[in-house]
Amino acid sequence: MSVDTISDDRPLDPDDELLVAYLDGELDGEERSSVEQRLMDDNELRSRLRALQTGWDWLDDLPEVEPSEKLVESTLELVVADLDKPEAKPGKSWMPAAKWPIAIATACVLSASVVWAGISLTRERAYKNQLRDLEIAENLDAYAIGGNLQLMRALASNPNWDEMVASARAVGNLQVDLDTSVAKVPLREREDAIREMSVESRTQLASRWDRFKRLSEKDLQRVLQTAAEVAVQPDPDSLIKTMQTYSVWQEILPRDLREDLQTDDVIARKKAINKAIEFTKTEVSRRSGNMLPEDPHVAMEPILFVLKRLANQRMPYLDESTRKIVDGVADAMGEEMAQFAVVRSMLSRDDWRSDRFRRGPSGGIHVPPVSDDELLQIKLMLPDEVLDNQFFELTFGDPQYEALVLRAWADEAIRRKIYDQGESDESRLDRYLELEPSERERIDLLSPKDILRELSPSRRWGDGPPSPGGGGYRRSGGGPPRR
Amino acid sequence: MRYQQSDPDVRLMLRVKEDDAGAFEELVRRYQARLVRLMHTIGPRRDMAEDLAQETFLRVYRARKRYEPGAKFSTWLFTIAGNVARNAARTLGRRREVNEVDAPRKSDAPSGLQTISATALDASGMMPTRLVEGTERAEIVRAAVESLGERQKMALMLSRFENMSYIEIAEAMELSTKAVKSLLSRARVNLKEVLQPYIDAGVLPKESDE
Repeated sequence: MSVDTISDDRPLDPDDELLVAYLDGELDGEERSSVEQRLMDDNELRSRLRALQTGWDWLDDLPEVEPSEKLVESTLELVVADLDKPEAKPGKSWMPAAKWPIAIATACVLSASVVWAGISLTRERAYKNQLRDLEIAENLDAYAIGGNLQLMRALASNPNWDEMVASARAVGNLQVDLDTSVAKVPLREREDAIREMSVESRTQLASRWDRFKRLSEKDLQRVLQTAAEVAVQPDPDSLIKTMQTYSVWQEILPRDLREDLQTDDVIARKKAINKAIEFTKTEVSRRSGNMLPEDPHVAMEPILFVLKRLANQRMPYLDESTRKIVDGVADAMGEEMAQFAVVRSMLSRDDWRSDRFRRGPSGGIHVPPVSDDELLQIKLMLPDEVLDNQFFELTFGDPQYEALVLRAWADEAIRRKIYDQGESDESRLDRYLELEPSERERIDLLSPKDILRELSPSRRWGDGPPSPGGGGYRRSGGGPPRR
Repeated sequence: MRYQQSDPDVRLMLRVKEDDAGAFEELVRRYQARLVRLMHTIGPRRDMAEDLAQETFLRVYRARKRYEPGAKFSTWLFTIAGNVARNAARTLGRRREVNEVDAPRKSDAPSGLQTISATALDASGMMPTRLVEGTERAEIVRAAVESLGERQKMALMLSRFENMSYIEIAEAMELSTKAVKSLLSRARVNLKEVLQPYIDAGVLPKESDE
């Protein structure tokens, strides 16, 4: 049973609106009388009014919320902590009641004032310096990578850089915060700007400031030197932005690619940048499966539909051994699973494997791999909402990248279909395809119920009772199931 | 300046504007429970309600120098609260997107609507009629409210628990009164729809229990 609620923009029955306004006392005298007249004449309207009122009355039963006793106290503490500088205390008269010590006291006060003024001046200067350094601390990650400004400019001018950064950010591969709150604010206004920052931003700034203070003398000098170098460039803002992004990006690059980027040779650098961007795009496309909407009807079903059609096109041309295995899967687990076994083989590509995107064994199924053109058929099936949001956000209309992303989505759709419906972390299909041919033949002869039991994980790892056929099929070397 | 005369909380806030800490404490005391209740409903997570209430007070304090008594104090406060809740939902949404990248896939926790639907089955004609009482009814109502859209929830809370007029709600939510009218109508109709199985199954409303 499901109940659809009316969203903010769906049309509403005018009578409902009228009755609600009536209940809320928002009608004028004339409207009110008219509603009351209708209520007297109209049974159905009366019961609608009652139902509306009943739902409203039930709100009295909303669970009570008791704030914790210390909430007031902790709120006040929070506010006090929020004040960066303590408020000046109201002035008090320092004039003593007795007159005789006035001269001495005045002298003391005067000398103390001189010392105090000196301390205040020093403090004030240190405070200003800190406010100035804060803009370096805020961009610490950027300055810490060093001053290879040529590389930064080469990255920023690469036609694929911005798209790669946007795609990587969209899938969460590149978590970079480009908002600089302090650096753009003039020194004299920084104090107020910090006070106005959200707690979250201020915590982040404080943590960067802390790291900045703990830099070794050598690192500090390097950071300051880079900052000074950037400050005199004609385009400091865009440089810092690229440096921030680069500082996070380089962490996801393999070491060799990272080192190649540091070359002074212009052509070699360009090549290295293209290679690193290509690498990132592939990584991003691998992770992009996470962007597939959860609702299977939106994207997963259309993708599976195309994949099954592609599998069906290959079915008449299977070689003999593949045919035998596919038929075996169909008998043991059904036609659809046989189609998925073919699809998985179609999608498998050696350089496409990683722990996270590991596909199951092909189990001897050999079919022609899916082509980019075939993958683009998936795009035709996707609804506009997916294309306009997730898909374009990742690919920016680059056909080569589109194919990469569609492959990842196809992979994800299959993964969700096969792995998530299983009872364990290994699908029965995997287990079936991992069997030795003789074992497979033995399994094929069992009843469907026994086949499922045989392929269950407990049987697979020998934790259950002995199989009727006596052929326990532990993986050589044993070990616990993969998680 | 009419609010300055009629609304004691406006007078308190004007004292806060002059850095009167005692007045601020008084405002926190007066509004904390109401704000926590509101955040409980409109915030992205119930366990964040107190934090969000605190964040609202913090913003009130930070904005004290700019405060001008153009409306009732509560209207101004709830405008800020609405913004805080919305921002928190946005931040949380972003964080969730990032965190979910590597998180193991698992079945989603039931939404408010799913909870109500499951329980509503018990109250439908399929099951023997019975009274839904105490905490169970509270849970049903809570789930029903949770199933509403964000703005419907906010309008509902302000109307039902803060007794605010359409005009005041419109000010607090920065909407037209017409929009508030239709939001509240949708909220009421939705509540009615969601709770209908209980009403139809003869589950008695509160007054009849007593």
